[in-house]
Amino acid sequence: MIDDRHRELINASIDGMLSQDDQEYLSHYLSQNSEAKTMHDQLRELSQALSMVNEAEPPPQLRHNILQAIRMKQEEKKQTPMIIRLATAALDMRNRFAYVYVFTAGIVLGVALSSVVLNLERETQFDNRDLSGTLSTPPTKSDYKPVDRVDFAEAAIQGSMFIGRTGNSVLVELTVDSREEIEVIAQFSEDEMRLTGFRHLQEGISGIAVSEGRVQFKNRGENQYHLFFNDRGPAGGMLHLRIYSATGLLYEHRMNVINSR
Amino acid sequence: MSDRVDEEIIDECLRGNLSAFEELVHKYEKVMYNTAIRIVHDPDDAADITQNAFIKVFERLHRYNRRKKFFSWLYRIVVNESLNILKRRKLTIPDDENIRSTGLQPDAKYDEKEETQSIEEALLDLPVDQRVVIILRHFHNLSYRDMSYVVDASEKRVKSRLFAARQLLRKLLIQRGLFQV
Repeated sequence: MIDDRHRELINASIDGMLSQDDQEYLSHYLSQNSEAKTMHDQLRELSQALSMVNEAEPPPQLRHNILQAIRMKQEEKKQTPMIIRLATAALDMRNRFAYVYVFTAGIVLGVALSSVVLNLERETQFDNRDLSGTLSTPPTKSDYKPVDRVDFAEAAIQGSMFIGRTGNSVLVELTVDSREEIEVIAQFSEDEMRLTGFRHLQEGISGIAVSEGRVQFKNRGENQYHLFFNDRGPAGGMLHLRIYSATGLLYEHRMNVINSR
Repeated sequence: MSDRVDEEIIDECLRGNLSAFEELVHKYEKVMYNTAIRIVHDPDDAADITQNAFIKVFERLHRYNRRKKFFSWLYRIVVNESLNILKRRKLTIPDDENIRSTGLQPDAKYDEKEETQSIEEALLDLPVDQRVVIILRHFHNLSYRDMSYVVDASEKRVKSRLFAARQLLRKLLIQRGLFQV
C-alpha cells in the first residue's frame, strides 16, 4: 500500500520536481518498498514512452494566415468609430477606469448623435432651397453647355451620363435602364464640388441617401436623374460613378468635371 | 521560453508594433499547434484553434495579467479553444463516430512507428481533462503551477488528475501490447 504522500513524491520524482533532500528520502523509501518501486519504474517507463512521440509540424501557411487575420483585425480596429472603442473598453470591467470610459463614451455619443441629427437635417434640406440660392435661372438641361458624355451598356443595364456646365454650376444627367433593381452611387470630393440638388425626372425619389461626398439611390426600369453641383475651386472635380446589382459591381466610370470658365 | 523577452515583446505589441506580434507568433506557433493537435487530433481544427488563439491574444493583449506567464495564458486560451471544439464535435457527431474515428486518420506528419501510434491512440482514449494534463506535462513540460492556471484547477487537483491519467494511460498501453503487466 502506498500512501498519498509517497504517491505524490513518486510522481514529483518522475516530473523532476523534487528537492535533493526529498529525492534522497524517496530513494531510501523505494529501496524498502517494492510496490512503490514498481510504481516508480512503471511511471518512468511511461514517461520515456511519451517522450518518443514526435512534434507535429504546423501547416506552412499557418503563420501567414494568423498574421493576415491580425492585420485585418488591426484594420477593423482603425475603422471602428471611437465611440465603439470607448464602449468596448468600458465593457472591460477589469479595467479600473471603466467608469471614465463610460462617461466619456456617453459624451462622445451625445455629440456624435447631435452632429448626425444636425447634419441629416442640413442634408435633407439641400434640394429646393440650395438650388434656388445657387442657380440664378431655373435649372433645365438647355441651360447647360455639354462638357462630356458617356454611354454604357452592360448585361443588365444600359444608359448614359451627360455632364453640362453653366458658370460654376454643373449638371450630371444620368439615364439608366435596368431590368432589376440596381444601386447607383456617385462620389465626389467635398473639397472640389458641392452637391446642390437632385431630381428624379420620372416619379419620386428612389430611396436617395446623401452623405458627405456621396449620393446614392436605387433604380428599376428606365429613369432619368439630375444631380446639380457647384464648383468649390477653379479646377472642377472628379466624379466617380458606380452601379451595383445584387450580385456586385456592374459599371464604374470616373469623369473629370473640368471647370471651363 | 524567456518571460523577460516576452514582456519586452508584449510592450512593443501594445505600442502598436505588429512585427513584435509576429515575433510572438513565430515563437509560440508550433507549441500551440502541437497542444491543440494532441487534444483534438485533427490538423485543420488544430490550425483553426491556433489561429483563433493568437487573434484572441492580439485582441486582449491590453488585458493580459502580467502576474501570469505569457505562455501560460496562451496555453490556457489554446486549451479552452480545443475543449470548445471537442464540445461542438460531441454535439454534431454521433457517439459512435466520435473523435477517434474522425481524428485518427493517418497523418504523414506523424511518426509512423507503431509504438508512437499506439501512444497517440491511447491518449485519445483518455478522458479529455486527463489528456490535457498529460499533454501539458509530458509534451510541453509545464510546471504544476502553470498547469493549474492553464486548466483552471488547484495544483492538488492537477497532481491527482495527472496521477490518474498516468495510471489509465499505462493500462491502455498494456491493452495495446506496448507495455507488459
